[in-house]
Amino acid sequence: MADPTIAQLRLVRSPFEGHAAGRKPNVHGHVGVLLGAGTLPSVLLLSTWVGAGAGLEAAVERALGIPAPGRSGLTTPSSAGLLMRTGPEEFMLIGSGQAHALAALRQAVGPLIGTVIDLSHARCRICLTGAHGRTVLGKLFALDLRENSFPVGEVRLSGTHHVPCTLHRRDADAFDLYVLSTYAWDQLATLMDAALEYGVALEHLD
Amino acid sequence: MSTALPGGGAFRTAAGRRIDRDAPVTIHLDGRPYSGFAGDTVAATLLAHGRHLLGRSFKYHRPRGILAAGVEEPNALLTVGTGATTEPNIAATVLEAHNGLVLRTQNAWPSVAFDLMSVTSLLSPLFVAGFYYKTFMGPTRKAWMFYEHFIRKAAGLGQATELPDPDRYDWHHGFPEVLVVGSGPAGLSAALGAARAGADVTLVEQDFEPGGSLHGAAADSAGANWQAQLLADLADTGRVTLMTRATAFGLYDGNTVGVIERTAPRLADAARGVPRQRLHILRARSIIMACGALERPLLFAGNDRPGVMLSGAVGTYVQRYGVMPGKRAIFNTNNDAAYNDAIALARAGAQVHLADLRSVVDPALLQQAKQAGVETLLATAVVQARGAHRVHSCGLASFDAQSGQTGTAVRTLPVDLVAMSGGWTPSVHLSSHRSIKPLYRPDLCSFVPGGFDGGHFGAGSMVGTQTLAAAVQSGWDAARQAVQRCGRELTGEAPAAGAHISMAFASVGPLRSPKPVDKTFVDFQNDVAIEDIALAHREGYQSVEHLKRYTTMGMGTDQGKTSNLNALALMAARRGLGVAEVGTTTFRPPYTPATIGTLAGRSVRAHLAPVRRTAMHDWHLDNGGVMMEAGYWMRPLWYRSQGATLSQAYKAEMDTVREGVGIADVSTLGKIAVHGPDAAEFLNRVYANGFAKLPVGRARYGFMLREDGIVMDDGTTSRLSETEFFMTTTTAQAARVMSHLEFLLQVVWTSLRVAVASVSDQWAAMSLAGPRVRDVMRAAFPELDFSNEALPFMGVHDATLSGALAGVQVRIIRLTFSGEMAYEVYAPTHHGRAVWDHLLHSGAPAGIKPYGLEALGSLRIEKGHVVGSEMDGRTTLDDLGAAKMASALKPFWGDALRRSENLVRTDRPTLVGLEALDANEPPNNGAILFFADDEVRGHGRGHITSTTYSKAVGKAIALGLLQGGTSRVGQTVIAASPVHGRQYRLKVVEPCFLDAEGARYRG
Repeated sequence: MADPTIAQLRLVRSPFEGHAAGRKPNVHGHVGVLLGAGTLPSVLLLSTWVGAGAGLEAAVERALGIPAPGRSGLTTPSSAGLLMRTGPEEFMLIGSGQAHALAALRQAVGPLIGTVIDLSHARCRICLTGAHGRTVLGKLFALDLRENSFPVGEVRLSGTHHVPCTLHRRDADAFDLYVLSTYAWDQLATLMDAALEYGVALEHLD
Repeated sequence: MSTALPGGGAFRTAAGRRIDRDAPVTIHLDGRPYSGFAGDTVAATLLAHGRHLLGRSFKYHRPRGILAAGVEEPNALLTVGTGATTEPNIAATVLEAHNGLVLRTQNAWPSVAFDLMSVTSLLSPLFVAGFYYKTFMGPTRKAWMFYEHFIRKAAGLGQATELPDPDRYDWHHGFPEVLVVGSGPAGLSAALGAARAGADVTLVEQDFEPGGSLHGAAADSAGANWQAQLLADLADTGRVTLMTRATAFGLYDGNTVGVIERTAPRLADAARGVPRQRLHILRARSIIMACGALERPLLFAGNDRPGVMLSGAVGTYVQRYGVMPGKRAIFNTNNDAAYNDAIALARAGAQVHLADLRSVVDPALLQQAKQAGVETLLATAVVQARGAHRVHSCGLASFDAQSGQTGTAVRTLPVDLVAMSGGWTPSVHLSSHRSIKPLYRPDLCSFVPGGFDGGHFGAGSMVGTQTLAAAVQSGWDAARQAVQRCGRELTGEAPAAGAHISMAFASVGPLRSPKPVDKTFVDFQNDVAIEDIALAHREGYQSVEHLKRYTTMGMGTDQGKTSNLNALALMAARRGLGVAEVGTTTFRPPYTPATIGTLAGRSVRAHLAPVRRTAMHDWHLDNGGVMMEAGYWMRPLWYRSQGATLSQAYKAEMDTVREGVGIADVSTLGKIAVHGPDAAEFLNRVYANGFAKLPVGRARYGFMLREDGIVMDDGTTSRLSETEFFMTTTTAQAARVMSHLEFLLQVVWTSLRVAVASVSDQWAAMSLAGPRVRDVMRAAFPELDFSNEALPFMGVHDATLSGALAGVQVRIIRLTFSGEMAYEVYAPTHHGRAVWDHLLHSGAPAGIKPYGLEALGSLRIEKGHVVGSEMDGRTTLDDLGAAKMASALKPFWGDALRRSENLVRTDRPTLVGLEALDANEPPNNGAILFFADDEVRGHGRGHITSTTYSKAVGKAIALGLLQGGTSRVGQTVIAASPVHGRQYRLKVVEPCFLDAEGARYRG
């Protein structure tokens, strides 16, 4: 017999629940910042120990069939998702959820090469675009956002209020912020508050 | 001769190139309206109506008026706003006039015109510098605290509100290639040069309009035209960000400058996110400081009277604002620059005399003055300004520049304005913030920057230029050096600047009247007169640091901008030294007063600190959870559904766990993935007890130490495979432990093949505990085996669920913190709430209820389990009764120093349990323990670390650290809490009050 309470269980809850979607124009009636917030289909942390970076890099290249980003801060798109180099011996794959690609990666990065850690629930994404997006980011992150310092396609590891955040620049005025899930609700609240003077709109991506 | 225009005050003129006469404004001062124009400062608006008297001085309550036209103003301080937006001590000379501006005068009662406290002026011979230290000292040592109450009422300037600030403030991080501070001629030239070289330039200007000293230039003059052209050229480059109303208040490490930007009047809107002020933290490749110079007052009797102003300020009021500060003026000067100001005022329609202290002046300059109608008197000094609420006359005497002496014959000149110029003091504050002492240049009679750090450059009058052309060239030269540091090259010549008057001068000392009948002030704001400096010298306070503190010279909101140099010169003369030998005090940020709210920025109220929420956060709120902050985490302390008060609820929740089954959110525990072929060896070195042989599928409780042998943290680590471990830490130490592990792998044991990663956010976690917990687990996860054989105590099981939670991965660890049969269930964060709801639903027949942090903490006290209160950064394994956990078979981090002499002393306090003997009230945490026959005084024999009421024991209990530890079981001790004024008698017992054998959670 189906239990109606169990049937009502929602298996997945976004940390952003409680933030109302919609528009909050500024005093001039404009919306200068657009935010989208949601969970991620797959996030994998690929890491290894001191001095073993080359082996990890080779394994990742084998598994994904692409050259790995050569230094920290670079990214490479792949069929399995966006591959970021987040450290000398570390990559993060923002996956598109393709199970076979992920399985290949786990197989390629064996225990003698490194480790593959699932962080799919540990990270959420906030997408930020708009004419005043950079200004808003400048309020929160001590990060040089000029394009010659932070080119399109690259990532930067930064933080606000001592809370880590990975920023990926998709375009001149488009950024994806990868935030820790337990801070996600608050980080979105902070961004929305920071964007208020320019007008802000929020869309839930889940 | 021009005439005053209707509206905007009787002292308005046809000049005033920066006001908008089509935009009238009205401000209110002490309830009285004053009309002005957009572009006015409050000072300009008030002067336009002939209003000079604006305040009473700090100590003597002497009438004071407007001295200057900028941030250096010491006298005209007003209180702005009302209620929660009240802001005291704002200089009228920097406040922009706008509609709705409400102002009050300060430090006078009932009014500035009639101030009862001016009686202190009659007692001024008693209230000299340092009088506090000679009076109010008796009859008892505590007498000062009595007197201070009244002194504070009498002294001081404005009064701040105690209401919460309703305004919003914000921050911004900027990274200009070249930062230029100051938009006078040198700064404009530097910014243009840097921009033309291709650099990204940020130009900051504290005024609401750029221009600096050029504000004193007449409309259509060469200076004004040059200024306009430069601003247009800057805009054309497209590479310059101009920030006005922006004060660079401090220079810091790493080429960082703090700038506070004030939002234009009436634009701030807290509700719509528009801040009132914004702190910019600018990290630049190169910094060009073009901070200008401030005019120096002359020293003569009555130089503080309303109507005595700086010459340059008079020129600015005439040219920039179209205001005549007076109609019968005398200018007293030791330099050429004052002539421009005198000529400007004469052309505005005033009757102007100019007393030049020098006997030789450029004839062309004299001719210009004459043509403008200025009567010039050479070798003449103003030796006294007379008047009370306004200057009405001055005394003039001959002056010998060689000897510095004034003549004995004094003639009176009726005036309503005395304009003085004693030379210029470069603003060396910013460059001095890097602890580079300024350097005295005798040729300039001033201190200039003593040097610059790499990447810093100076330009303009700040570094001693004295003409417009020299300032412009120095700015261009600074830009050339600045952009070179950025890998760019500046070609071309500096923009041409026409001939301009020189600012060269020779400093003069006090201009003494033969029969002085009034004080001569050096520091206007803090009422420091030349007699006070003489007194300080006589009494031995001769160093510049002592001079400052004994007289309070330079300690007001103006930080001595118009007084420091004169004071140093006076002390130098008394000591028979040069000014260079006397030196300066230390320059510290902020350059001008900074609102604390701006420094806090957006980190206030809801955004004071980050908030960290578990996956079950909303459930707690919806079900009566009373939340508390645990670091950044929000955790439920207790539930209203379990009791009306904390005291009721936590006891009920304890009962639930001891007698039924409870569920707690423990998601805040730190969780770290430790992976790699050498992971077991790594953990074996990190923990005091052994981990190398931990079987797959089992967990182990462990302690880890700091390098100095002190306990750092405890936790449980589970082995998931040969190379994969799952570590948990305490909530408070999660980040610290993670950093510790990374440090060990990257610095100490670099050959170990181990990678660590924080997975605290990956997993939500819940603890289910109580005699009926197995019923709940079986109901919730029927596909799993919870028999003791399948999942023994400290067993670990990973599973992928089916049914309602199909596909959800969970990790179940059988361990206990409460001392009951218990399981920790870990689920991926986004599934956490679903798993929690499922467990509650499944546990309903067993009467499952939530329990919070208070109950959790009390349950573990009953079991004697230690937490941060015991692992407080001072305790060892031995202190905590856990010495047996330290392996003797393998080395581990912290092992060597835990055996150091001080850590193995037998008189160290060690862990004990304590039971109340008197009232059943839990003793205060932190209460100091004494043996029964001790005098209750001093540091005692230990302290209480944790305390609660225990229903299981039937009395209040506690854990504590006591000398002698469990060797004193059965003895009575006294717990004293001096802060609360309480003492308790307690009995020492073993530090486990319940089920020491562990029968409740094993099996």
